[in-house]
Amino acid sequence: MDCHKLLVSAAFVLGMLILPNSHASEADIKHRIAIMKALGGHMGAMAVTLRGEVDRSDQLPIHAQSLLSLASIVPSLFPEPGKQRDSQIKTRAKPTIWSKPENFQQTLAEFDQAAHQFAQTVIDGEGSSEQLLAFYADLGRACKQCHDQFRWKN
Amino acid sequence: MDRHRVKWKSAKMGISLRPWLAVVLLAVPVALQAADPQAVERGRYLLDLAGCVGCHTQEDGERLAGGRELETPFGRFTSPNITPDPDTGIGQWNLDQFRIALTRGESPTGEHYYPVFPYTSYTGMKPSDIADLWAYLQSVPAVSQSNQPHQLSWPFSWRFLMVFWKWLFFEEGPIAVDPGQSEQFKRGAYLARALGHCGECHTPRNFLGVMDLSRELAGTENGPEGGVIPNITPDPETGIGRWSAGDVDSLLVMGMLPDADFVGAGMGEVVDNSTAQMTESDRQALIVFLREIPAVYNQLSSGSSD
Repeated sequence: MDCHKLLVSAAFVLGMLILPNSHASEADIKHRIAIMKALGGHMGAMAVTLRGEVDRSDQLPIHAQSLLSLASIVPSLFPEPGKQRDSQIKTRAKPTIWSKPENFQQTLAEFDQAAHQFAQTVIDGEGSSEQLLAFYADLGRACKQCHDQFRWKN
Repeated sequence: MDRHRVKWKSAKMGISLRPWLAVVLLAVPVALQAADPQAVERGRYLLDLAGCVGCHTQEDGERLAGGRELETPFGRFTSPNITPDPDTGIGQWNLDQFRIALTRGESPTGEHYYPVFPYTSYTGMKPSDIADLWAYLQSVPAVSQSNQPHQLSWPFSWRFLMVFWKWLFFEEGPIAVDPGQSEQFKRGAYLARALGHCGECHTPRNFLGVMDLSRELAGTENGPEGGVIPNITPDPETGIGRWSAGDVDSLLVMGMLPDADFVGAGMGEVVDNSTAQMTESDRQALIVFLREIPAVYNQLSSGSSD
């Protein structure tokens, strides 16, 4: 098991232990959705920047650092669901997150690895624009992979 | 295999051995016959673009061995095995039969396919692409997996009605593209209309399953698996008219929407299996096509972005 997988697994297990009774409240779900939207916001801002549609490449490291920070808390956002499907807040998280935790951890580890690869390259200021776009595409595919497996379409 | 040489040898062996020779030749797996490696490689790419894997592979099943169920307003279709297995796949077909299946929607036994198999689009495929695709399909491992019957509602369960359907609605031949368009647009049109068969999901159909080409790619509320399929014409209000070329590119490469959400379900598979595998030039051609076709206003009940 590589370092990323180990860290993500540890964070996931820690998240399960720390959260009270390991059951998601509506507030937990609301919080998770907000974090995911924040991640999406940074991803969207970086996409238009990397494509050269806006001249804000100097701000890329801010988004990259935020991405890393948010990525580090993602594994803690999925406490046991309890009756969340009956809650007033719509969630698209699939039960397989909890019924197949090892698959979920694996997918999160891949996301974490892709996020580090991309963000660190941005922060270090070393990658060419082609390389950054390629790493960004890898990151996007890692996001999609998780959504495909662990999120309902509607 | 050199056909002239086989003929010469059979003549030398005498007529009594010919039936045996025929049996032996039939028994040789098609995959062992000589195939141009470059044709196989091109065919692999075409297989991706044509989206064969998605429909012909069951979840957790053997690649291209069929068994994938597709819910439609006409009932449940189950895709067939297209590996070169001689008993359950297409191992006993030849190139001409394969071409007829793709371009006329007719099986080697004369059976008419339902248009859930998108021969209505594949009919526009170039003969050279069909030959390459055939070469690749002969190279994949044969999988023995029997085909399952479709479960369709009446009258669609009467397959013979497809004769009339095709007579009325099916036009065989290359896709129509305005000759005044750029080469990039024409390539994009070929990718979208023939190989990628985008219209099979994105173009609305009437109650007989006929695509309304006056609203090409304008989306539908009755898509496969009962879902809403978005309008991908350049209409700024109900389509993708406000998307930049980069937005479309991000969708094709990684399935990301302009709001940084991701497509899922069927389109998610199309991205993984097809559009993400495209060469840069093919992707750009598809983008040009999608941004230059006529905009169609078509407000759908929910979601127009994925």
